Amino acid sequence: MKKYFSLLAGSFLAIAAVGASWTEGMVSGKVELKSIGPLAFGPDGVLLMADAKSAALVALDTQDRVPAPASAQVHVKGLNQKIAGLLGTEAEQVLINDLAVNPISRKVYVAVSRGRGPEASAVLVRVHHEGRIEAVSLENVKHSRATLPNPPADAMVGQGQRQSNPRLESITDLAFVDGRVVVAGLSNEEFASTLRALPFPFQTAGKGTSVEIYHGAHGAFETRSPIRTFVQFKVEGEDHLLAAYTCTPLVQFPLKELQPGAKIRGKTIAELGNRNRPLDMIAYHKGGKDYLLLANSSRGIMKIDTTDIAKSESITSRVADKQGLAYETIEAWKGVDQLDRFDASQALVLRKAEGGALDLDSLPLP
Amino acid sequence: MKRLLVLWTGLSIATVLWAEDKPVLTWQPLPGSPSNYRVEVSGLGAEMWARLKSERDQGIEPERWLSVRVVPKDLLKALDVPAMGGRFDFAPEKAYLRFEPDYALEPGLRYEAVFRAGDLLPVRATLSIPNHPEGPPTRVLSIYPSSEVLPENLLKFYLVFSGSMSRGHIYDFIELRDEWGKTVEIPFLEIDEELWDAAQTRLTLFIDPGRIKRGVKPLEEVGPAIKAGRRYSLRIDSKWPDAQGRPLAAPALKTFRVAPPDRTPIDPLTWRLATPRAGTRDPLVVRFGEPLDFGLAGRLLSIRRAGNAEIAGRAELHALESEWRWIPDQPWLAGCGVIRVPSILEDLAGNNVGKAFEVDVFEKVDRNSVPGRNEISFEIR
Repeated sequence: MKKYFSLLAGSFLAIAAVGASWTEGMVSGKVELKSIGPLAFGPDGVLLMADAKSAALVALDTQDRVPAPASAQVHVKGLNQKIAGLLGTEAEQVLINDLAVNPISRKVYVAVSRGRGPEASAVLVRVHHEGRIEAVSLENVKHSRATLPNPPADAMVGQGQRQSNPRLESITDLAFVDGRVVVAGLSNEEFASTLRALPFPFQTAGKGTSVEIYHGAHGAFETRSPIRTFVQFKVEGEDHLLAAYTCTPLVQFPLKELQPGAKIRGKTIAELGNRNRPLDMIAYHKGGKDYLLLANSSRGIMKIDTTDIAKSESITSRVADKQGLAYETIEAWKGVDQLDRFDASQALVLRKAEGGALDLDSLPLP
Repeated sequence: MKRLLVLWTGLSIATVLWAEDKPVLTWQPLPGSPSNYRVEVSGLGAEMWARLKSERDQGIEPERWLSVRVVPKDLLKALDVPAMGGRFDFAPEKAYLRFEPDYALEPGLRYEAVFRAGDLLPVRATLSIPNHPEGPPTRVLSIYPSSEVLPENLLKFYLVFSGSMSRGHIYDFIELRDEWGKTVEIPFLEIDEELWDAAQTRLTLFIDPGRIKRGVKPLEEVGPAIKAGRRYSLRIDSKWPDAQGRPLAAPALKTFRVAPPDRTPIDPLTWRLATPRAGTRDPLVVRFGEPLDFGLAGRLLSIRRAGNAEIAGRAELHALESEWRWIPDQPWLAGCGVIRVPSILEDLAGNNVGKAFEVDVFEKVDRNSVPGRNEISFEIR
């Protein structure tokens, strides 16, 4: 889905040149996952997989580094039904939690739960351009793991009856951003929406940064609402994160402020309307302009021109309905469930079709 | 390969096989789970095995000859579904070809193995895995908070089930209605990952904080999810499938009345303690003066003897989660102790120890060190 960052031509080659270091510290062996998804690609075919049930991140060396032809496309009818067949079950027992495109090979990686009960298994599926699907073996693969750090208050209440750490069971999104893995999450009991930045490779696993997110868009109060989806974004040459929240503020954070212990106050640059929940977001450049494409639960696909984002005013007072950056709804893309960047000119979408089928298509960016 | 060709006056040609090439497909149960099976091909003659070996040497994969597929319940919906993933064991010298699926077969489904190679007619063998024995249907055991009066800025519900539930579409089965039966629009924070415990028997259901905090646009535009002075009902639909795909035994309903918002931080200095006598295993009782969060109050409080040794025992919540009881594993010894109260403890509205939910941390409230509030001393006599 979400994360295909600014690995555009020039910068991508630079990263590939030092690629060997990205798999440093990885070990060969079996990847143990209690759950899978969200996914995000880093450089050099390294796939980051969130195992929210374990409050852990796994970086996998996919060894998938053969560049795709420029003409690459992907079209799979009933992806969920085909994955169910591959896994020997029915589509009702398959959950597609996330998908991510390898920016080198343009192969699509899909985070799948086989089963809906607590014994569900986590499966990584790869989709080739001609539509062939296969399960990616996690048996003997190069990988590294980082467990999200436990806040100190939790460590001191370790009673025998407590089986697991309920504080960090949900990872709502993640991304690879300039040598760090940025993770948005929410705990199971305590209401604490956080953004964490972990250095990568995971040489200092467990020593990530924990940063609570507040934004000043609503007068004196912060919302503490969790980030639903975010992208990396350049504003006047500086790296920022652009995060979408439920109902639907769009908030901008300077990446350099994402430091241990920092309190980040974001700038709300748009209110996109109520009764809506953002699903996925990608950023792209077309015809000399910058755009953001945001998939939503009830307001379809929004295309937002962000060319002049640096000049946008911060929203600090009550607004009637929508305010800030305007958007255009892409009517042709209905029922989008997952969205990612496919290549410089195409998006990858997973859409609801007839009879419960989910179709996977690469489509020209609008 | 030996073949006998029979010609019918030039109209058609049929291929008849020698008796030794009679492929036999068998489903063989494997140790472990009752739904672990493999498929084995046998019954081929030496010449056929040699031919398969030669094809294999030329790079033909065994999946060209042998595949296993789920038989769709609805044949009309049958798509071009790929064969099930698994491992092949091709041993021509032992005259067998085996396939072991990577996943246990699913109860209630039917599988078909097909062998096709050379000029042989395809051979099929199906296997149906019986459904699980039916246990008692899963039901909603409890919904927390237990109180029938909840603050307007209530932060979350907990749903506790008697068995494991299915995940994936929980918000289709949970509804909040007002006293006129009208559905409240998206009152909950819908998280794709769903906040289940490991056994999927307890769900944490957050009310969207955007509908709670003052000054936030959704609250101003559409109002709080629940309004003071009104009555609501939280409804759990019995169609919600459990982990085995069965509907719940019955729908569940929690009706409640809404009180004004609670914006007061938790203050352990106001809690009342009742200490047991030394030598008994009577509970140490703490009365909070208000209901606290079921999940956090049940887990976070701990008890230590003076000198820091943790006292083993178990906690219970009573009186609509406004009372905490600690029952020690061993009889109480006389002496002093402390109850540790982590600052992240919450009341029903998400107010912490010494810090209300709505207080902006930019205002420099240090939530981790509120003097005197994080430890409560007691003495056992």
